[in-house]
Amino acid sequence: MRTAPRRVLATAIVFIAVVAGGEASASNVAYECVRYYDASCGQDGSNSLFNACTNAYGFANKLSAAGHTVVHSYSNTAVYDSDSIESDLISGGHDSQYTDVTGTAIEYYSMHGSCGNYDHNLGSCTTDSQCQAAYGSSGLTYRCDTISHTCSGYIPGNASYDRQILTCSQGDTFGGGANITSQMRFGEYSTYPYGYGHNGDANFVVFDTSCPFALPFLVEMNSQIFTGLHMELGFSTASSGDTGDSAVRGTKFATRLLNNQTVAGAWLDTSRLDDVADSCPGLCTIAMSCDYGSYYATWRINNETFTNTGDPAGPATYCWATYWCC
Amino acid sequence: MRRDAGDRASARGGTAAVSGASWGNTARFGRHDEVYTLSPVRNIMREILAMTALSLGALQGCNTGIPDVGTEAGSASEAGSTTALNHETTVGVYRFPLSGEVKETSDSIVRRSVGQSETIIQYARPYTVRSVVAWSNASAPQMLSGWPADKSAHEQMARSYFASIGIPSNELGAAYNLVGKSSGAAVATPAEVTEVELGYTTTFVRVVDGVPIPDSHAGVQLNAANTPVALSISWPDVPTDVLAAAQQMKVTVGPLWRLPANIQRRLTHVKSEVVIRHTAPDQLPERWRAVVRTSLTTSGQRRTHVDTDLSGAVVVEFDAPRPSESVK
Repeated sequence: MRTAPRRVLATAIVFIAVVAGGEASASNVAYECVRYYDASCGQDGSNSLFNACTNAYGFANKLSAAGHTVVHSYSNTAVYDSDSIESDLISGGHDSQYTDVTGTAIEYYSMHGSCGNYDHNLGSCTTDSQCQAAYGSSGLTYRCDTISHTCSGYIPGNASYDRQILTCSQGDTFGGGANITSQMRFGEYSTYPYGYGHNGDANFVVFDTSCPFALPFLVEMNSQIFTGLHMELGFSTASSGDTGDSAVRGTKFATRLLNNQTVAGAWLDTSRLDDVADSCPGLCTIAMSCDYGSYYATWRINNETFTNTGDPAGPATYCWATYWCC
Repeated sequence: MRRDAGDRASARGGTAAVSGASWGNTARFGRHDEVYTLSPVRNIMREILAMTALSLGALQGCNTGIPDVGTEAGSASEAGSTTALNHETTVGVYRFPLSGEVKETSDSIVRRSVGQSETIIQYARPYTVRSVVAWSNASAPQMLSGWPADKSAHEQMARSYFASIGIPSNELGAAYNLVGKSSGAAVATPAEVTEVELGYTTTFVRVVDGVPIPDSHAGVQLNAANTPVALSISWPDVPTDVLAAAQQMKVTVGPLWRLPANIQRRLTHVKSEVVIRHTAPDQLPERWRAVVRTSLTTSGQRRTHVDTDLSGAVVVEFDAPRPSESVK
């Protein structure tokens, strides 16, 4: 269901008013992290991320010490795949209780991720049509990644091409993974009419994982989660690299937030300047906002800070992203 | 740049004096009007020398190749006599422009100078070393001057820039060069993309006498006019006793050194090497320690690492502790 333009205009005015009059205030902060991925979960094994939880703890501790409140914080086997699945979209999902809870400003994921079948780093290109001509007969949609100048492909709407966060717990009920494009939605605040229910409110979501984004398909694969969400932060992974398991990225990101840098700038500068060795090679660090029209999406990327925020008033019709790539 | 344990102690003593010290104390540089009536180049050189002198304060007899600034340097390391840089000095040293009216705030950890569309933060730990973060908003004038031709050109500019502010070139480790873009598209027409170039960033990691220092870094984004638009440096002086300990550990940590099996499990060993850890600029008191960093890859080919001592015991003193968590 879509609301009449007049309603969108009215809520847009509210957005501007909230932004213009925003005051720094304490916010609720949440995280989920997983270190252990052995067969039984809960112990180190061949897929352990030694620093994933240290990273999340640093993020939470930094903000907590500055007066923000850590809520809904879970580590290792206490993290279930269903925690992140939209409860009003997928039966058995519980995001409204854990990761997209009313009053939560930011959710920080630090764990493994999966790239799915996303087909990337193929032949060189300068235009999308070159990729379609070279690979299009395979049934995928191909585009030219203007950073790597190589072709990438995926099948729209095919869940096997979706990216996932990966959990490891006896409490998992979705096979240990939650699909970003098809199963996650964030931000459905109480009066937002364009989402799935009214039991969310996360403003920012950080995927400190492998593959939450897939350049050049940022809009195709990630705009779906913007159901009141302000911004998504994460990485796009090439075959030549992967997200480094940093112990300090979360702390450094939080430090920049507390110094009143924009959320997008804080995330991007943490990777490209403060913690570059874990952000290269083969990686793009990305901040993306999808909102009602280009003005709001661009405004959020260029201006929105952690505590000075206004919720999206309309449906996410336009996405703007900034990325730094090794 | 290094300093000895005595200097480290004095830095801690200086820390204690920070909260009572005036950030605006420019006595070491002379009065504002005295400094800034000099030529800009002389100002910059004078500030660099003064800062360098501060950082070398207690290194008596150390041949640094930097001109001797005499007793000023010695007094600089005494508790209570260190001083932070005011924003004019900071801007001068780092050539980081602040537009419009500049607002300043400070506490015992940082001094923030905020212009109309830029922010520069000078960390106070300790005042004698380079710990600075700066950024420009999208509307800042320096964002509109175009970008260097390519990554290689930017890296050369970055090397010159860091040399000009006193980062020792022989401590610059690997250079990471990044390219930035913004792009947008309507959800209904995702293939119709609008792109904006954002230039390049070069960030160096640090190696001192063959020992990596993973908590240090020097990164900058320069525009085509060689003006920094984003900057982050954490390059504290390495205590000589810690460096000596690291060199001693390197004797033991050869190519065959391995983590204990109960830690490494079935992860793939990449390398083990001695590195020096240090706390972040906003963490007081500062702490240093030489550790063995073992790099590993997971079965999913993702990089991870673990820090241990020589016996293979995990070193956690630099790790964030687990907060009190929610219960399901």
